[in-house]
Amino acid sequence: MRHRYFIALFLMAMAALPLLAEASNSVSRKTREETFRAVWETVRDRYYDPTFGGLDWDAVGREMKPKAINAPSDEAFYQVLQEMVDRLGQSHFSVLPPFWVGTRHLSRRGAATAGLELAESNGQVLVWRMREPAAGSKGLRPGCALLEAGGTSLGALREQTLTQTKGKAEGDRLFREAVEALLAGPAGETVAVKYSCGSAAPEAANLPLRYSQRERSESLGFMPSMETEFETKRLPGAILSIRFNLFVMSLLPRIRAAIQQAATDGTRGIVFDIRGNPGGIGAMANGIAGYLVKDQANIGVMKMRGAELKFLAFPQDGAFSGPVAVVVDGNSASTSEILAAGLQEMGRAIVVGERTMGAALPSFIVDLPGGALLQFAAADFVTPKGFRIEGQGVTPDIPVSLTAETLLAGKDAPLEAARDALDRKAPPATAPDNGGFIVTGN
Amino acid sequence: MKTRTFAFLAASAILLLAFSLLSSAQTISPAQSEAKADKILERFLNVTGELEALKSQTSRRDRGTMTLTGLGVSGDVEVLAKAPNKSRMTMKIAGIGEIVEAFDGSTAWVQDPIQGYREKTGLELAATLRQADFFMAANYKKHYPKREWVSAETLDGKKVDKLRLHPTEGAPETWFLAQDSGLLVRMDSVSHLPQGDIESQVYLEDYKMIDGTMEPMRIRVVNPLAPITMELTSSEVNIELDDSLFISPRKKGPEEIIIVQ
Repeated sequence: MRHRYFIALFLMAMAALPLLAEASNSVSRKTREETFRAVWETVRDRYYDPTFGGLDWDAVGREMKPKAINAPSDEAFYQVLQEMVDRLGQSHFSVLPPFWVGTRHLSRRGAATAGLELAESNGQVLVWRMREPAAGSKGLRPGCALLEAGGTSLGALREQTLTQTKGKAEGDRLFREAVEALLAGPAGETVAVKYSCGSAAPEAANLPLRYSQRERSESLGFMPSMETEFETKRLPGAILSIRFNLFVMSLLPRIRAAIQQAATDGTRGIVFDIRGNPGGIGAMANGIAGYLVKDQANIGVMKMRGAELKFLAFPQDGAFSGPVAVVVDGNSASTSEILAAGLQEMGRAIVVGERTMGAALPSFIVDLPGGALLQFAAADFVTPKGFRIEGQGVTPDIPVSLTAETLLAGKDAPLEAARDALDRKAPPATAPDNGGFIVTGN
Repeated sequence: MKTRTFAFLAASAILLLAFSLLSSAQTISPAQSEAKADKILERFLNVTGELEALKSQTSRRDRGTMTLTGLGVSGDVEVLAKAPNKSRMTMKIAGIGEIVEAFDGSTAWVQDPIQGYREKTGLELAATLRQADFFMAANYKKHYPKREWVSAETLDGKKVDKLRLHPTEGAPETWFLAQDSGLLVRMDSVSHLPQGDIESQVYLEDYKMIDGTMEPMRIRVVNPLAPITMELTSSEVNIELDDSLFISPRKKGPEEIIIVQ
């Protein structure tokens, strides 16, 4: 049931698309039938598991077809299709309606948001990073607990999502999405928030909703352009942190350049910070790993119908040979998990942070009749030792979470734990340490 | 047996093999089987005009487009071939970048914007050595020392002869040649990649006469990953191709070793 998270991977801007809320009934019966058949047959023919996990796919088709064809609206029709693929209980299944696809161009500037990145800790929603200055926010800063957004109590919202979902993971996911939606909307408007910072009394503020000025990735096939973040930070002890929010081609040269630079400038260790990174181009995990290995290495196996393909890292010139850590959290998914698990299993990296999402099925996005899209899992994925990431996630070697106290103190506990681990592991510095400042970013 | 077709197949993760055991369908002796296979292959080479054309050709450049069917991914393809055994295929894919696969006569290499640079070894290298032979049409017996006629079958409503060709190294390939036209219409094969073996079926369609030879204007590849279609848009022969086009970046000098976009 993690599929909806991947809609965020494509767009991260649902709240900015008011068309989604408008009911319509323009998809003809013929198109509905063709679309239904395309979805059902794609799963039948190309889903990696020909047993469908024990599900009788024929029976599912017979049950769902009349519901879909006779659905009272277009939205309901596509919802039935989504429910059908949800029966598989796997990540990376999404039916993206044409009205969603058609509004992608509206999101090219990104959603207008309050510019807050959030984390959860001990039942609190914490401000983790502030992507843009929040004018008039009266002391709102990382570590503050968000109490209300848009007039909605986050405590009540959490209760509601937990009671309406089957499990905690699903409830957590829905809650995150709901909070993100509350903090987004039309550009130029504001969203009212209440928050408390440490023991101080709660404060209220109206945060302006703005479009991000960040770079966007190029589109690839039906995968649209998305907002990208890349940052390198020199940490004390000549440890380099490389943070990026997506596995997309536009970031790969910068990631490589940072690694290659580290290989020559006395850097003692590299931390890859992929918290909140939902994945992207799967092969980028191999490509990055190729700059961290001396010999060809296997980081996992993609299992399709009729073929198994290893994710191989081919050693590249300019590779970094020092110790490596990967920082992850519960929102690290897909390619993030493949990279973390692969490096962890081969002993090339220490994984620090929180257990990852457990949604690591290689998928394709194909077009459907009538302009909709279908994302489907075309392969299973296991580590070289056979560990299946899907549904389980990657367990960190060093479990550390963000907390209000550390954030308010200006500390990033998981990142610092990774730095400390590398500092202990790396050989002594051979060059003066000029650590502690941001080198690049966007 | 054009370098273009083979290069595309290789770079598309689809090279050759096939097959299931169909020996029960074979009712003639091995010698008769080989003779029959050779007769069919030579007819194919004569029908396409390849044997005759090779007498006057030393290089070739083909250009076209490629599409990953249904995925919205497409790009441009260029295949270069230079006698006696140099080849280079470049795919420029929107959203990915440029993938180059080449053989300079001694080193077969691949450079892609995601996974970087690597050199081919083992069965993958053996397949490239075979495919890069500019005179493949004349040398097919050397590259496929064992050839069998397997059976006569019906494929997509057309009568075809099914042949099994055994290369010097690697898995055998199965070729289907139309009985009426003599043209190769399908190849079943396995690509031996370091990541694993990939089975595929390659359909060669819409033959047209270009520069004195019959060429498939469309090549469709069906494999477990995603269907791929290549459409040929232009073809030139006897053009100037500098040897540097085929040389591995690692042989060109240290300043060119670092492979980034």
